[in-house]
This record gives sequence, C-alpha cells and structure tokens, in this order.
Amino acid sequence: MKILLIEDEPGLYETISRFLGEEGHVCELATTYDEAEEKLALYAYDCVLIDIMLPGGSGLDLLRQLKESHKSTGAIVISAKDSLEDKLTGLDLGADDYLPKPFHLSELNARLKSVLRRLKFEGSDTMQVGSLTIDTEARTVFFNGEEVLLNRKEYDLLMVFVTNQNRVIKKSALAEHVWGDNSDQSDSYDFIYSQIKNLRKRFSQVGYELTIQTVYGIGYKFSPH
Amino acid sequence: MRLLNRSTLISTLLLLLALVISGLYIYDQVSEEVHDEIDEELLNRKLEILAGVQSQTVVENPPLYAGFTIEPISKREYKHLKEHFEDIELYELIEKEHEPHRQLVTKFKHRDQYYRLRIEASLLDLEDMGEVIAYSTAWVCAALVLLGFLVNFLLQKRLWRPFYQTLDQLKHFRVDQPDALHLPTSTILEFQELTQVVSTLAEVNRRSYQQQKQFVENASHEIQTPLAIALHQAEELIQNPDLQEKDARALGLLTEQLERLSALNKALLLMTKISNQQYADVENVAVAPIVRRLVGEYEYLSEEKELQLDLQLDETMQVRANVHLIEILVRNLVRNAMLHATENGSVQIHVSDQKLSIANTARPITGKTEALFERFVKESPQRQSLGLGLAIVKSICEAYHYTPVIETTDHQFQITIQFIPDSFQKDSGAL
Repeated sequence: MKILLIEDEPGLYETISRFLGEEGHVCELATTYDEAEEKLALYAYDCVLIDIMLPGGSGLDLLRQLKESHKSTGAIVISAKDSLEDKLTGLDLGADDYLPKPFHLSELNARLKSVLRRLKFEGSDTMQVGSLTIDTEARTVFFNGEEVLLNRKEYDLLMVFVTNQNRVIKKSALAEHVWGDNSDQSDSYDFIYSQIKNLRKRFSQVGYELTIQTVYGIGYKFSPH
Repeated sequence: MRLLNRSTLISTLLLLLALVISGLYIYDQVSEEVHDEIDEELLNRKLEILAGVQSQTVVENPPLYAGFTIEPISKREYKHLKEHFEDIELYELIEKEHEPHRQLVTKFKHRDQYYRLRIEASLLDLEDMGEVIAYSTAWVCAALVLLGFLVNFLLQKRLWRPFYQTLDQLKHFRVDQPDALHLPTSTILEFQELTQVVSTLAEVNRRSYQQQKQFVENASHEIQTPLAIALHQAEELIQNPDLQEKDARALGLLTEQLERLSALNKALLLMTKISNQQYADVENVAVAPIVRRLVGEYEYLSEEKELQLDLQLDETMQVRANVHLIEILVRNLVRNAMLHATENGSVQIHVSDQKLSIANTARPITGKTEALFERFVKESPQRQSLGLGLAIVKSICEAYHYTPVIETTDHQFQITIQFIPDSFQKDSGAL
C-alpha cells in the first residue's frame, strides 16, 4: 500500500517510515505543509497520516483538501495536541481515525490496517492468517471451517496480534488497544496475561495452537503457523 | 434597586424637603407682610378713634362691639403702659371658635383722665393665605414627583439604553467563545468610554485565555513529541531477535517509565484544562448510562477479582455539566473502586437524588481521607498508580462546586459526589 506520512519531526518520521517500510508499505514523506499539499495534488495514496501542527500550516486544512479531492483515500490524524476539539474536527472532516501522541507503533499499525481494510474491501472481507480465516466484517474467526467463539475483547486482542504478526507487542500497547485510550493503564497489565491465557484456551478448544510467546515479561509476540 | 430608581427617590425626597422649606419661607414672608398691613390699619383706626374721642365730653365704650374697647386706668399704669401690638385669640360667635386676631394696645389722656385703648383686627386672611400656600405646595410636589417618574421612565428607555445593552452583553460574555461583543454606540461620553473599556477588557481576557490554552496545548505537544520518539525507539529495539534478557528488562523498564511520564503529562494537562474552564460546553447529562458503560469497560477487573456488583441507578437523574468531565469523573471513581476492591469483595454504585455514591470493600485506610484528594497521594500498593485519580475527581468537583465526601469503615471505602441542584449550577456554570 502507498502511504504518505506528513510529519515534521525527524525523530518521529524516521522511525515511522522505516517501520511502515518493514510492514511492506511504500511510505513517502512530506515534512512541511507546502510539500504535503504538492504531493497530495500530484499523487494518489491509499492512506495519509497527517500531523496537525506543521511548519507552514495546519494538518486539518490538508485533511479538508484531501477529502474534497480524493474521497477514497484513508486518513489518520496523528497529533500531540491532545485536544478534544482537534479530534472532533478531524473526525468531522472525514478522518478515519485519530491517534494521539505518543502512540505505539503496533497501535498505529493496527489502526492503519483497519482503515486500509475498510477502504479497500468496502468493509467486507475475510483474511487468511496462517491456517485461520478471519471475517473482519462479521468479526468471526474460523479454523478448518469451525468457528472459534470469542467475545468482543478477545477478538480485539486477537486482531492486535494479527495486524502485528512476528512483532513484539508491549503489554501497555495491548492494554491500550483493548481497553481504550486511557492513561494510567498499568493496573490492567496483569489482566493481559489471563486474557491471553483465555484466548489460547479458546483456540485449543478447536484444536488450534495459538503461538503467542511472552518476551521476557515485557510483551508478547504472535507468529502464526 | 436600579440606579435610576434610587436617584429618583433621593432627588424626590430632597425636592419634597426643599418644597416644604420654601412653603414655610413663603408663609413667613407673607405673614410678615400681612402683619405690617394690619398694624398700619390698626394705627389708622387709632387716629380715627382718638379724633372721635376729642369731640366727646365723656369717654365711654361704644354700645355695640365696634372692634375696640376703652377703659380708664390710673396714672401709674398710664406711665408704664407702652404702645404695642399683640397676637390674641378671640371667640367668634359665628364661627363658634377661637380665631386669631391682631390687637393694638395703646393709651390716651382725655380731660385729665387716663385711658387704655385696645383695637382688634381679624387675622383670618392670613390663615387663609397659609392654607392656600400649603395646598399649592402639595400640588406642586405631587406634580413634580409624577414628572420625576415620567422623566425617569423615559431616561431608562432612551438615555440609559446603551448601558443596559452593555450589561446584557457582559452577562452573556464567555472567554472561550469567539463571538465578539456587540456593544451599543452612544453619543454620551461616559457610555463611549464604557464601551471602549469593556471591549478592551473583553479582548484582553479572550486573548490571555487563548494564550493560556495555547500554552497548555503547546507544552503538551512539546513533551509528547520527544516521548513519542523515545517510545518508538524503545519499541524498535524490543523487536531485535537477538535481544538479551537483561537488555529486554531494561528496555521494559525504560518503556514503562516513559509511558508513566506521558500519562502524568496527560493527567496534569487535564487538570489544568479543567481549572482553566476549557470544558465549557454544558448540557444535561444522564449519569446512569455513563456509569453502566464504564462498569462494562472495567468488567475485566471485576471478573478477575470476582467482585459482586450492585448497581442501583436512577435513569432519570441528570446533571448540568460537561459530558466529558462527568465521564472522566465517573471513570476515575468506577476504576478506583474496582481496582481497590478486595478479592471476592463487592462494589456498590448508587445514582439518585443528585448523588453518585460508589462503595467498595476495602482494607482499612491508614492516612487521612482528605489527603487522598491531593496529588500524588497513594494508598494502594499498585506499583504504577499515578496517585492522580482522585485529584482529577477533586478538580472536576471544584469546577462545578460539587462536594465529594469520603466515608470509610474497616471494611469499606465509600465516596459520594453530591451534585448541587440545577438552579445553583446555572449561575456557576457561566463565566
């Protein structure tokens, strides 16, 4: 997928673009308002990541322009201004998601994939993960044609792993993704463990071994087979 | 009392006093003039009477009442008697009452005999005059008071209109709203100045509010960006498949602390925003649905600890506040209760009568309960708790003048938020 990253902080865009490259995307970069405006006018992207505060203008104006000319392009607003108005304005202008800084790369990945999935397959698709089949529209998971019964939280948790295969996902990222954007989340870390245990149990009931390993107690890694 | 009413009242009272004094003064002047006239007349009559007496041999009183009396006196009395005027009361047969009279007392000598002469004249004219003056004064008073109220009414309508318009605008002024004040123009210097001062003041207020807001947001930005960079680097380092356990643990700790810093920054920012009244949108918020949703969100905590939940929610209860703040308030309380509840314990949540009360089974608290509302005070052994949860609750309560009350027993911790009735809130909600 072709992604345009509009971000002016070298420390951020270097990591994010490298990360997106590793995930198999083509990531282009715009570091100023004018550069972004030009690139948006010249090329088509599958998804645009827009920082709000940019040298030369506001990312929200870029978002407005983008949604006027390329409706089908996904847009995720990333902002350090943890301001409610910006979030609401962003979503009003047609942003598909809003991600406040600092965010986990795994979280960005999960949201990006979710946006791309929605846009490219018009919201209905089944995806193949190893020998698992996941219907992202119906939020159901099948192994060998048999449905794995998951509750909402378990499905959410599985999707973080599915979108971040072979990556170590920090406990905090898991907690935040599943239990929402709350600060002071540490209390829920201990429950991640039991949730993952439950998840494994659900899959073993249909005879599938969910290969989620713990990595030195700081996170978990899912390598499907 | 309105300024104009008060000024009218004061000027009316002063006017009445002035009219009474002027009435008395006029009466005094008139009465002096009348006395002079009557005295002159009495002296004239004295000359007439004396002329009449000269032609008679024997001096005696007239057979009928003629307005004067003559009586003989001794030489000694004659010597001491000095001609003078007196005010006396005489009984009038027709009126059947005492009426004021003026009397000239004088003396004369006729054929070696000494006499005293008293001549009277009625002062009724003067009394009538006083009455006329009193009535006129009263009428003038009444007319002036009426005129005063009329003028007052017109002034209020016309002259003071810019003032009341300005006042009305100020009442609805909110620093967080961009709509400018529509101040009236006026040809009156004071109102022009008022308009100028008020709009300058409003502009300064709005600007400093905006700057403060901007600063808070910028500060948050400036801190979150480096945190984001550091967290991303740590996250990338964790991906290294050759990572040693020792380094992994160090990275874990590093990440944890960075996340903690970020959470702290967010929490402090939130409190600053609350006390800056940046959550100014107020609406009627139903509390029960919010409680139910958040209890659902933290179900994993209650399931994990096998807590018994007891919800008694009055669905109709609403509070006038910002919906986000109420959610943050309820979230912190619900989360706290679930987090600190003892294993296999219970959490009770009651919503009714403008009250939200959350109780959980708890270990006894060692410190002072009020201190729990302070920042960074922690009772729980939770490793990474920020100790800001109740401080946020407190700042929301302060913003809306709610009273949070903590009650503890050996086995229970209960916090009750008393939302004040609507009528009070409307005033405190506006800036």
